[in-house]
Amino acid sequence: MHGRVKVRTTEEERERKKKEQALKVRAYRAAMGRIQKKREAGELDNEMLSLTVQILLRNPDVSTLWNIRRECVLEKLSRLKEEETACETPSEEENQTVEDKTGEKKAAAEDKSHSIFTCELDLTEQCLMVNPKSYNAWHHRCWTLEQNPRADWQREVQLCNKYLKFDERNFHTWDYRRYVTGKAMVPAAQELDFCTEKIKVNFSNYSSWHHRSLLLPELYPNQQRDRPMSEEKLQKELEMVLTAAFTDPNDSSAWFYQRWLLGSGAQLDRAPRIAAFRLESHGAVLALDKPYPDIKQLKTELVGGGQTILLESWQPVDKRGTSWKCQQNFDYQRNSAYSLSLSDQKVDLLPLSGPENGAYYFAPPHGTASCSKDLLAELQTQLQSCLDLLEFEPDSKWTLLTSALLMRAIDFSANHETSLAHLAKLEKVDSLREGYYKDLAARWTLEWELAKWPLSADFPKRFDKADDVLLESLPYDQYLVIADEITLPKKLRDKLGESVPKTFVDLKLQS
Amino acid sequence: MDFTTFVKPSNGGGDGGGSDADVGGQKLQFWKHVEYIENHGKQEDDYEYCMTEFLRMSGIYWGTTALDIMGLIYCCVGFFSLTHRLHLLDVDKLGWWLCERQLPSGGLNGRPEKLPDVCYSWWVLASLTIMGRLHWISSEKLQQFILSCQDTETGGFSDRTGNMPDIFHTLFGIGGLSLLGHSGLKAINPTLCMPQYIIDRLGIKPQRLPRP
Repeated sequence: MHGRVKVRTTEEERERKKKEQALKVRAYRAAMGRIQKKREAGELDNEMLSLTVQILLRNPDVSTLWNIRRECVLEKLSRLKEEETACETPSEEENQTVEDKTGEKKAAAEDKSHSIFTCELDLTEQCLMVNPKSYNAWHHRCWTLEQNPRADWQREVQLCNKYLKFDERNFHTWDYRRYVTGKAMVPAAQELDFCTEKIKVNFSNYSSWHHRSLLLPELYPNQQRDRPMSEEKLQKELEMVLTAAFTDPNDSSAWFYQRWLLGSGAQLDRAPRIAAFRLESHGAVLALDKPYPDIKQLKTELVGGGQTILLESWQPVDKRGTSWKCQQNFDYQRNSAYSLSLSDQKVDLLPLSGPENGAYYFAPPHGTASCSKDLLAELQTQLQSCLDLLEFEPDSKWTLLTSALLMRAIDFSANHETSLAHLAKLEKVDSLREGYYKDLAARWTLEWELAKWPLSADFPKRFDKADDVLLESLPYDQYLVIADEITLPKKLRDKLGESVPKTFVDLKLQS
Repeated sequence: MDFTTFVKPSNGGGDGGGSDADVGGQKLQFWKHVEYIENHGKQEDDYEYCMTEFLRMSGIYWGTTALDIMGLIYCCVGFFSLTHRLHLLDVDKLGWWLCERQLPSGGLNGRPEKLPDVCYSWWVLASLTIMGRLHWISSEKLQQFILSCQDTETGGFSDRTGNMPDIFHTLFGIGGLSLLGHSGLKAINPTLCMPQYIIDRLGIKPQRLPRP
């Protein structure tokens, strides 16, 4: 029950309502009882159809009744088929006219089945008028269309247009739209135009922004796959969305889209990449850039010193499935070049400096995405616009967050301090999400620390996190698995307790 | 009915049976809600009861079905939790979108630029809990919002403050408060929307990510 205000009623009114409802309940129970009896008796006839209509029009969410209707429809269809086959078996001697007649009968049968489907479609349409968010009514509509070889998908697209005029945010209609435009083979470019129109009418239409985000990667794919779409199109989208966002900076719809634009696109389906690796004669450790508990499915090979070694029997180092160790003996040859392959990724290892034998690999988590001159210029213009707005509205949450994201998209290292300052401010002005901003600050800090780690003197043997910034958590800790020594601020160490990351030395001792 | 750690007082609760926990000047009216839920099962001749009977007939349950966008996310997250495949989610991205559901009133909505609703105290909150990101929203503000949606006369919770209570929002309100650790409520399992002690008894272990 949604949006029904509690109103105080008089005793008299309550009595009247009670009586009214008692009558409805009686009718409902009678119809339900009759339906159940008929179903037990296998009577899937017209009476059954009209009984279910009575209830479904009041409450389209009774799945059982839709199931019964589907049984009725299938029953009717199989009857028609039987009649048809009875006509299709004329004896060989019969002449042309009979064949013509069969054709006519076939067409008549098709018309009959079509009218069965039309009846179901009409009912769902009526039910959707009562409740436009009834899962069951939408589902029954899909089912009916799928059964009908003559389904008019184009008409369904028109129906969506109509429904979206009544409620531009009904996600059932948007979902249905994605389904029927596929069936009607509406070109994606045409759908994008539809989206643009909807957004122009109302910038605050998050459903339409979302629909857009599904169409663009398909229409304008990004070759490097590190941005949601081609850089050229991305630039234009950024322009469009900022205009929308600035129209009403407190409306979140466009800002969500903006953040999606600045992201790296769909990364979920890609295989994990090697984040860090270290090898010595008694074993190796491997860190992945994202969790992957099924590491056995990934072929890991070490090539060097004139041989190829398959690395097997990985043991988990953490519970998340991001770091692994392998206790295997290697005949490591100091003067040979080594490389490591994980599925289709292949990286060259660097020898450890100093007297120790061994080799390593390290790729910090923050990669820089491809950025054309034009795109960079656009990002800088946007950042400037945001900073200008902040002059007037220093507490504008979305402007604070977006400008920090833009800074990081331009140069995350140079803008590190400023972007953290924005997060600190966000903790205050958007205090509901204080915990989120603290964790995000920790992520950004670690990304920065890990990016400059390779430049430090004792890399990769020593990792030093200075005590100046209070970190809420320690994300990316799997990257530290190649270090012999990890120095963390005492407060953070206390907070982490048992989940302080293991060092390479710890792992050796355990073997 | 066993979702509270309290023993019903012999006088039936007297003052309505409020708990000791006081959030923003509001108390959870335990026994009113217990009565409300108990009565629901007895009201077979009630119109509302008939109209919601589809739940029983369909063999489905609101708490574990896809009511809308947020319900869909909850179903997906719950599925990964049951199959121990939560690593397939981009927790930071999804978690951010979810914590952005909290509005200044403390209540959660289901999509950007929509009104808050107690049912999202279950769907959003359970998803965040499964992903170890419950601390990304303000627990106190949400508890205040949920408590403001309880009907202190009849018991039960409504979708928003001042609306008619119903059995579903009562489940989601109490479930949400339990996830937030409201005093006096037993722990609820975020994946299965059932008391944790029952899940433990059955030996089911849905996956749950730790806090970062």
